[in-house]
Amino acid sequence: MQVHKQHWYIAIFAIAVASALTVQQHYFQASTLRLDPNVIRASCTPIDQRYANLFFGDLKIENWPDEYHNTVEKILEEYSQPPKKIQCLEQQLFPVENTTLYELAAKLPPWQNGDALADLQRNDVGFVLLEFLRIYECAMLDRKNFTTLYVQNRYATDQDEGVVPANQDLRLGVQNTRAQAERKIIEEELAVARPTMEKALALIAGNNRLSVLDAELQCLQRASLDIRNGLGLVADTSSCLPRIWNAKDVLRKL
Amino acid sequence: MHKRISLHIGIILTLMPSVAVAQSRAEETVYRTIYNQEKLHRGGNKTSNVLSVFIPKVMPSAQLRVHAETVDDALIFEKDEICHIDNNGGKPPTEELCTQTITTVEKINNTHAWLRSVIRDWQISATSYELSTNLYGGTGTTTSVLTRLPSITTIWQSDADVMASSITEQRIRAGVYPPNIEGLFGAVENALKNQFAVHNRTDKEDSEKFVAAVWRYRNGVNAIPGTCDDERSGKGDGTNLQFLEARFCDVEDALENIYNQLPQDFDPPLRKKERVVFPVKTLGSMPVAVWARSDDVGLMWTTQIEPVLPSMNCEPEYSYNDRSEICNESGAILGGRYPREIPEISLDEGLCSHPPAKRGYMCRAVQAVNCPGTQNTGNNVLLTECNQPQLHASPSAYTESGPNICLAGGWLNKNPDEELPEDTPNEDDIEPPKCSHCIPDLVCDSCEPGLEKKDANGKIVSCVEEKDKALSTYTIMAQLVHVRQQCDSPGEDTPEESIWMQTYNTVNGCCAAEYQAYMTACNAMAEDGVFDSLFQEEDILLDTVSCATAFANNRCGDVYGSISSNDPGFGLCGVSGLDIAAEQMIDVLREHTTDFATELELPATCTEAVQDLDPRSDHLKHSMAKVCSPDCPAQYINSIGNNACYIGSCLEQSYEENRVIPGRVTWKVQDPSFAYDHNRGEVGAVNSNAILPPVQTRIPPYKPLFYVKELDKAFCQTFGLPALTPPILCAFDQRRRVSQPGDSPAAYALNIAEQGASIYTEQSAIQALGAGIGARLGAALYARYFEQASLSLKEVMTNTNNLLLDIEAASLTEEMCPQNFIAP
Repeated sequence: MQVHKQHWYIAIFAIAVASALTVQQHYFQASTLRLDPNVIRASCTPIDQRYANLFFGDLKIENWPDEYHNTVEKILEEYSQPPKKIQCLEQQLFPVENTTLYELAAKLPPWQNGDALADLQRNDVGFVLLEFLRIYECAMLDRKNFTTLYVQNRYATDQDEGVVPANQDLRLGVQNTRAQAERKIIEEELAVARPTMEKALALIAGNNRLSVLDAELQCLQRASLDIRNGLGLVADTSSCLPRIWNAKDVLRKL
Repeated sequence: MHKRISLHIGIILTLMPSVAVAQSRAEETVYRTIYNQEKLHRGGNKTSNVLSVFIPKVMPSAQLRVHAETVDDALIFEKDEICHIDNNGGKPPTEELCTQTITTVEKINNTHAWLRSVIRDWQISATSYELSTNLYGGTGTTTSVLTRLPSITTIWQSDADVMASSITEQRIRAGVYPPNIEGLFGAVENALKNQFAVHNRTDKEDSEKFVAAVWRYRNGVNAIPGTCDDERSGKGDGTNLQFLEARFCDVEDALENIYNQLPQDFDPPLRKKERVVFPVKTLGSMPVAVWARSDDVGLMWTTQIEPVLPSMNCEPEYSYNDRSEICNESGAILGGRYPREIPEISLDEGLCSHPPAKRGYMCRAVQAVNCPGTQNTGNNVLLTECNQPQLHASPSAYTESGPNICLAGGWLNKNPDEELPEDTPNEDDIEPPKCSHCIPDLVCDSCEPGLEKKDANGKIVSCVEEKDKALSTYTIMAQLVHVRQQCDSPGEDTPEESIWMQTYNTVNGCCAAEYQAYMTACNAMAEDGVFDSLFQEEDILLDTVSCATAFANNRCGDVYGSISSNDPGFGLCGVSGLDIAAEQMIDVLREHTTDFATELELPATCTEAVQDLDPRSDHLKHSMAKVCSPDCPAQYINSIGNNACYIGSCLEQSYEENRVIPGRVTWKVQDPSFAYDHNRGEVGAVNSNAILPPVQTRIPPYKPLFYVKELDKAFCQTFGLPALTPPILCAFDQRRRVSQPGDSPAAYALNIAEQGASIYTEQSAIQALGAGIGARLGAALYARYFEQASLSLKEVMTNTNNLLLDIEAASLTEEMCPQNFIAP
């Protein structure tokens, strides 16, 4: 009787989870239709086709942290340099094409739409990096939840590539050691990646907003120089004014 | 011999790791540095060198001994290293003792690592602004708001405005380093690298002294009084804050060497308190740069990530005072006491010693029409002191031919072709040079009330009160402005009958002339620090506008008699806002400048002041020259304001000396020659109305307490509670779940157990949001200020642009002066 009751609980639990997922799916579908493309978020798994351009499928997990942190580091370094070009007369002050930020955004689902990518601004760096972090964490969580499966797949790949002998089966001890090594990376990254990103973004937060003001001031400075040059020319001309009057008035002053 | 070589090799090998570490650290990007710090803090596998050294010193004696090199082992439960027989006095330790020891290490580490991480967070929040508002700019600076604003001001302002401005500016000019100075910057870099060390037992980098050294010299090496004691170099007083006041003699020597090589003579000579700023030099790939000014040299971070954290080590290598109250016998600083109160600094020290920061609202009182002080609701922290000028009406200066542009002078440079005759403190027999309508003759005497008069030759005798003594430097400036005001007026054999004197002999005319003259003098006093000194020594608060109003009240009161009022600051020309009468204020200024003449670097007497003329007075004296006259070159600094002064002067000269409408020469300027002159029609093509927009700048109030309360409220509301202070009271309340029991006892128990974790998630989310919200609020303050400030500037620019377009569109008439031929 107890066994039956347990099954009944499991069934109820399964139905509840299924309903929740269905509702959630509907909700997301509805949201997708309503919301601006910039806030669409793809699923929390690295196998989604929209992540095909990212490194999760190609790189071994031990290389993920380096790849992720190097990309973030490069974007932040680029961002912390003064913008090379300011377009004072354009709506978008800072052109963002040909930057690492642009390259990364083009690989992320919210900006895979061409219009959204065209709207990308230099100061969207926070949005792009947080989305990249979210996907990175999703990939890590997915890997954590299915570590054993991934270790087995990886072992099969190693056999195919001749890293381990093809006739050597995966032993439980080896599997556990490999899984433990992966979990160590995952846990450390899950603990460290987000606080690091938050601190880095806090650090550039002032810059993020002041850079626009600074650019406007730079445009104002350029305009001031133009006006100064214009007035310099007028001053040159006006030095002749009294003499012009003198020349004109010479007869009338008699 | 062999021993000596071995010793040298040994020293080199010992130094190599520290240099290598310094190099590796120096090359780290900001992001990588934060990442590595977070790995130490959250990774849980390692701890910093400071804590590795500290923890063994504070372990309970009843537990196993832990060494600096085994702290990391304890953190990863590497029991073999901890549970060693040697760590228990030769006795095998029990399993329980091992676990206790590891738990203690973990607890001490977590507590201190958390505290240090929070302090770093504060630094990052502060840097979020500082990074963008770097004091001296420099290579790689992302934004240069602070350096760009003065640049725009310099492009716009005329020198006449600067002299009579109500705002005290710190004068700065740019300089270049002498050749062959590069090596001295390399020496600073090496001195800083020497502050890095690798701990011999933990094999970890120790950057505590390096970080402290960079912060220590942020306000300059000369700002630190006294000489550096070699025996105490790199050592503190054995307290938590020991490295805030420690000195690093090799770094100081390297910085002083740079200072000694800086040029000391400049052309034109520096004014009092004027500073020359040299380019910022970044030290190799270190995140540190050297700034240099004519009065000091110091260090600055290019990106400030690492603050000076509480010191935890009072071993002899770190502290000269190993018997401080909180230093234990093992050499650990235990903390637990409030540090002594940090004394309030004056407006010339610390942050306010830097010229760009000196312009900031924390370092000076703001003169504004709207002051935010009235908005203090108790939730604001008012960092701004704001003064509202209280004048009856702004007096406008005018001459016999109407208002004159840039009348006070000071915008023209010295005419290189013309030397002025020597002026002694007595009356001299001098005449104006060819390119000037007048010549001032300064005389130290006891003066009659009233204005100086121009004689028929153009000489204007300017009397300076002998009793003014050290104040003479400034009264001379006012007198020279008076000279400039009537310089272009016709000289008379009976000067009292001149049109200028007739204008001056009205209340408005007198107030206008005196107020303008004393704005120049009072601005110079403010610039030289006379007002600061007066406030510090006599507790009397003066500003430029109050000072000029009081002087004008006094001078015109002498001529026309004071008007009666119970308000001592009340006068003929305006309300000075002072608690004392104008005459009393002048006496106080006279006494104070004379008593503190040496400190203020002022000539002690009128005679000395005339003989050793202040550069500003010299500049004024040379700006009497004619403008727009043939054979008289006019030189001025190319700014929009100075150009406008020149154009305006030429236009005025056109109108005042020539008739625009053809006809006979009239008695007065632009009088009608003929009865039908009034039908002349429109003149010229310039139709734009250039109206000066109202000044709308206003420093918004800074309300940190209000924002913190809002954040606390949001945090408490997350848990369904009213706002409580401190918000930690909202963090955990068992009643939340106890008062709402669930169906299943197991789920209910589980839920209670998980309450802490769920709260932690919310807490960390809000904590993470806090920094972002703070950054937004800070940026909003800037935005609100600049939005209004730039609006006025934008309107001025639009007007100027329209005027220029009109001038460009103006066409020369083909017919000669057709105005008179327009039919009536």
